[in-house]
Amino acid sequence: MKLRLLYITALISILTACSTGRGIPAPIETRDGGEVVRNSRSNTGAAQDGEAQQGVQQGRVMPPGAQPNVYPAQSRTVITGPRPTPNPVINSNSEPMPDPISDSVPDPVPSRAPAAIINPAPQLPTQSPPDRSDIPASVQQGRQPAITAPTTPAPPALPPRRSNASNSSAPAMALLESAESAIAAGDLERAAALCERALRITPRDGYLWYRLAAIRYQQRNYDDATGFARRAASFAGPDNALTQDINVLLESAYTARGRAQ
Amino acid sequence: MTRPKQSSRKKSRPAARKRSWWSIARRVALLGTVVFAIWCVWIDYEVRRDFKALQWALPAHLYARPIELYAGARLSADELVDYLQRLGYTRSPQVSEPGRFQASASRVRLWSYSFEFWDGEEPSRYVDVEFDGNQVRELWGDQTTGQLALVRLEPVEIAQFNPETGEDRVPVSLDQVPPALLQAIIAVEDQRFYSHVGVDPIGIMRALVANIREGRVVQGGSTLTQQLVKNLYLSRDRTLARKIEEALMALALELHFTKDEILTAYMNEIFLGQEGNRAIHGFELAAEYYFGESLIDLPLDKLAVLAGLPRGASYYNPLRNPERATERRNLVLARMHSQGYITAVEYEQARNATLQTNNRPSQKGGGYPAFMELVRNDLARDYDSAALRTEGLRIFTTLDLRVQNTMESVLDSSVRAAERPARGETRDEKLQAAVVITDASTGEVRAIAGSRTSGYTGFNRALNAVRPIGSLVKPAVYLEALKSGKFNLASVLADEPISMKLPNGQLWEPGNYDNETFGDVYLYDALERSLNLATVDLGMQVGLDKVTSMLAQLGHTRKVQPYPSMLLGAVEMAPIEVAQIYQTLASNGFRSRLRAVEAVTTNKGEPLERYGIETSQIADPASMYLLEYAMQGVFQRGTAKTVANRLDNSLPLAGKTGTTNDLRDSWFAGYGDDLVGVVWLGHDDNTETRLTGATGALRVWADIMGRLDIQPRQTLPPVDVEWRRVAQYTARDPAYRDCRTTQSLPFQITHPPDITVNCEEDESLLDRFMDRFRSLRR
Repeated sequence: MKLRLLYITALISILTACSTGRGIPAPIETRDGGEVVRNSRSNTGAAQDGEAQQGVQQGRVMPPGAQPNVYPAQSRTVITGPRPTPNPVINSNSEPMPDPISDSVPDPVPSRAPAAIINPAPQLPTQSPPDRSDIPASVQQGRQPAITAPTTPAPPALPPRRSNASNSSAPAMALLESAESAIAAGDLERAAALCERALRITPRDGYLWYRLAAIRYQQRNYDDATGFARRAASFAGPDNALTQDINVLLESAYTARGRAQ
Repeated sequence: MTRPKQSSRKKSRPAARKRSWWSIARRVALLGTVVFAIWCVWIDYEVRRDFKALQWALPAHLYARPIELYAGARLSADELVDYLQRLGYTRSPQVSEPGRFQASASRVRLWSYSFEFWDGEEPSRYVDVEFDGNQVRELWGDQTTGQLALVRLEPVEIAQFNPETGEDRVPVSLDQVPPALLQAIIAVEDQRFYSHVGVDPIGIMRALVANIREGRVVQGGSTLTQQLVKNLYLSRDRTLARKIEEALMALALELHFTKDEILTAYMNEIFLGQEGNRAIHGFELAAEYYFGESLIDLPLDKLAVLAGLPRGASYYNPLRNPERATERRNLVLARMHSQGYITAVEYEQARNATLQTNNRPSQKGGGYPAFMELVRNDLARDYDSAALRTEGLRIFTTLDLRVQNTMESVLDSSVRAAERPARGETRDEKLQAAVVITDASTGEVRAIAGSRTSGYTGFNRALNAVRPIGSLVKPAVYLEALKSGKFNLASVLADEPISMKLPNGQLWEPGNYDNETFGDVYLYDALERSLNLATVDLGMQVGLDKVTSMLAQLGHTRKVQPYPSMLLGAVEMAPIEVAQIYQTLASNGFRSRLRAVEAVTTNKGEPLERYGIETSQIADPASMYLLEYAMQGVFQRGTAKTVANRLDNSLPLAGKTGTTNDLRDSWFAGYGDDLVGVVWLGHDDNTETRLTGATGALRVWADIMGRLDIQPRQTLPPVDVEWRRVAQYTARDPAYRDCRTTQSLPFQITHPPDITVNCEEDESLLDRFMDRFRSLRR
């Protein structure tokens, strides 16, 4: 029964193929009815040629002026639905998480370090991707961020800051306050974003650059930490306390990077 | 396949042979059936998968950078009102609920909506903003909040698009589609849509008969379902197997999905036109594109035009081929009438309506095409494609609407004013432009123009016009020299004719722009006046490989051939690449990669990915400070002096002009404290523009930056820089030092001026006596 249905379908399809499909009244010379009829009677191969001559590029016959490549070749394949991906989708922070247990490095001044900086286990900002009914559950599981155990030790904590944000502008202060609470909550990337937002308002605020550097250091992104700290130094001016903090950070980042390599 | 088997068999009795033939045929048929069945199953799977994915392909929302309100923010009341209107807020006498505002010349009261940003929610708030000219003076909330430090408004949505393909589409559900459009489509494309099973043999036969009778193709036999399938798999070739596959796919679609679902997909997916490199899919977008109206607002005659488009979107394009489009429209209307969908009166009315189309570029999705292309590139480069597949993403871009719109409002008239048409012509309409404006400290791209015409969707020159950059390369040469410690601003260079044998055996004899030579010149002076010969002298002393590596450090990613001509700008870059280099200069030697995307969240505001500022130092602050001294001199004394009076309030600024051989390209790149701007002018066919960097691009740059109120540079000297007096005129021998007239220049403490030009007081009494003696002698 099913077979018969399939054969009928095939027949219908062949008929469809032969029946000129989507024609346009005729700017092209080769497209005359006689030819079409002959095609459909003789053989299907010719019918294909007929179609090809009509320049069927886009699912319909286009006039000669039409651009054959109006569709980017990949424009369709991309919506072919979700594929399981081995990569975690949510990845706001490519650094592995600092792990308090594997922290074998002696803390230089553990007792005095401010809570914000030695916050032991910052959580990656994780959240579930939106439920998608079109993805099987197994695939959805694959989309969950795979939190891998960190392999490198946590960066040594920095000594307490001497400088403070007292010179920053009011909006920058407000943002810094939010950034500090984000650090306390372990959401370092959010804290970095808040610092950057403050920097867009006052780009020459050395203290903001320094805070951003300290966050990157905390995230073990020593290259960026160094870059930001140097930039902080270029704006520190006569603020000796800040300069001192920056130098400590630069040194720590330097040794931490050396150890990581 | 059967032949080898056949020949391998021994001849046997006829009956047996007959039987074996039969069995082979049966086996082949069986095998074929199995293969066909597997094929069917595969097709079925494919269609279901793709069609479902399609239904979930909600577009991503792109947002411009939001306005931040705080005391001291550079924003006028008018600009804020414009922004609120873009957000869709309404002006009303009472600010009694979110989305309302009230404005006077110096005060705006508004009630914002809440919005989920990457870094947290911005609450809905009542805000009273007081302005002081172009600045925000104060911000007040209600009684409970009191004075506010910072308020971030919602971001303006600039486009919706599919982040993977770059297609923008506005999906509609079936109830948002006017019934007349559905009727028109069914009447003209597939009358038996609601009764067939995906393919329509009756329709095919009827089309065949009609075509034979007419002697030409007048009707198609494809059903809407088949058209949809074709539309979904356009990149594939068009063979018979493909045709059968499509028919099977149509059957499979009908099996698994309802007619309404298929019709909805058709309404949203079908290809209806091409605008530059942007494909128009779906009727809502087409309505927007062709008529500038929403689908639901269109009258019958316009709906009929749209219904005629699936047959040949380019052939019946109402913008380009209005006559064919009208003819087609009338055919659609006639079919609708004959099938009883519309009355004779409606038919006559619509038939006689004149075809009116929309000639202005569409805003939705097409508003900032040059920037959109950059966003697509950035997404492809930085973001995990799996993350981008999430539906309904929110993409926060760095586009600054104030900067972009101001730039667009100035650009065309400014380019027109700079045109130098060929003799006998009144205008140089070929003259094209590209502009890139970035934030001077973070590397965020604030605005982009890929053409002098705003909203232009064709060739995006800002990203893709790779042209020689001329003298814009020089700061790299001078920075490398200053950084090496062997040169300072008062180093003496020879601006003298030079000829060099190139690796290919040719003789290279560069000259200065006006073919003058200036003899011995100071290093800073050579950069300010953009002297070619002195630059070649310096570059050859520094080393070509050093200069190319400096270009790489400044942020140029492609390989540069270390030929001497490179020193004068035989390096090709797109405007965005130049912007990257000048970005590094503007942020005092800290390179931050240019970015157009700040963060991506899900449609519920949950963070997905973020790419923050990154920065690495490429030169010490002292060298950067010295270089900037000379680049500020470009405005004060050098090639950009002509516009100094126009930018009076913004000076000092730093920048550099660039001109290429035969005046083909006119460049200017410059920066203040807040913005970096790169302007290119030239012809697409690379012919002469008769413009130098100073007469062309610089003027356009000054017009744009003047309007944007670019902020003056306030670079503080690093601790290891001090000012010293040097002789006004160069000397290569201490015996010829001339300290009668002096000038003050910055020097790195470790690299003081050479004794031949040093006029500082710390010299010995004898020297001073000798100076006096020399001056008497002259």
